[in-house]
Amino acid sequence: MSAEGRQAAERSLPELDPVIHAQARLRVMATLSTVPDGDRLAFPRLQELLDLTAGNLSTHLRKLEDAGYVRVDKEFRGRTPVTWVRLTAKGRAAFAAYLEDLRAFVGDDTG
Amino acid sequence: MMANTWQDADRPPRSPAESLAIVEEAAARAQAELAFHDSVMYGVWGTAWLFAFGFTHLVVGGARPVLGQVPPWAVGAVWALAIGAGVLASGVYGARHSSALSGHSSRMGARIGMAWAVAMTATAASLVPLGLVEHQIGALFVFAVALLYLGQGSVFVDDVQLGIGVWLAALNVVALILGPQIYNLLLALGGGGALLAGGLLARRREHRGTMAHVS
Repeated sequence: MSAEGRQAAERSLPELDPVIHAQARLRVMATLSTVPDGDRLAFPRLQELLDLTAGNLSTHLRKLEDAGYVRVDKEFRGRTPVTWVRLTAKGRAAFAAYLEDLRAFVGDDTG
Repeated sequence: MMANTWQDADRPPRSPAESLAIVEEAAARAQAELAFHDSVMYGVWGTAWLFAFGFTHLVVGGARPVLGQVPPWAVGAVWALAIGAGVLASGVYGARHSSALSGHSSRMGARIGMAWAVAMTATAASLVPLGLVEHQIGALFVFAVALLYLGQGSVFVDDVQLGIGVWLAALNVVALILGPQIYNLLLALGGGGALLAGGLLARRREHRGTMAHVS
């Protein structure tokens, strides 16, 4: 795509939530959105599903946590530390709004 | 669509279409790995029923059993093997599922597992006091299984479970009326077959659910 074409495409993009609109965080949000409300996902399984290193995943989770989109709970099962991750209500709403914006754009673009 | 480097992981998708593709792929993978698939349970137990009831029929069923020379203890051993394998497979699958999640669904799964264990243990403990023999033993277990499916199907508004419960309850009565010579054959084909068919229906539903989540 030429520079002009890229600029035109960027101009026409809707205002997408910058916290979600990064590849890794988008995958984190999409994965956590499949976890039923009221449930939490174990950190190692999330890492496994996303093929990210623990450090990389922690960095992205911190950004999402700072925005209030995810909640990270550290607990003990017996003597074993376990980290649980879940979307907050604010996170679910933000992800739904993000998808709505995307679909509106793709629908406009193709229709 | 895996990000190859941390720079890739941190950059925005190139287009809205790429964003949607990332969402769909991540959600589909999560659904496939995290959801509890009833189809697995149907497959495990349908196979166990087909194998155990089928073998029992070959040993003791019909006017002239196909495997009439097999000692009676072999039937018990086959049942122990089939039930043991079913319990092991269900337990491993359930444990893997519940270790990934914490919260409402894992608590519900634990209670369902406990309900099945209590129901089957109580059924087994009732056999001697009731003085049941041969196919009547199987019939009591089938009755308990049918009731559990009827309950779960009603509570979860799950037509597959409800249908299996109704079918097993009816089949069990009909097979008992028709008698011991045909009871095990009917339960192998009609019972095991119904569970396997339920597995196919559940599999289709799970596939549709995965697609619906992001569409």
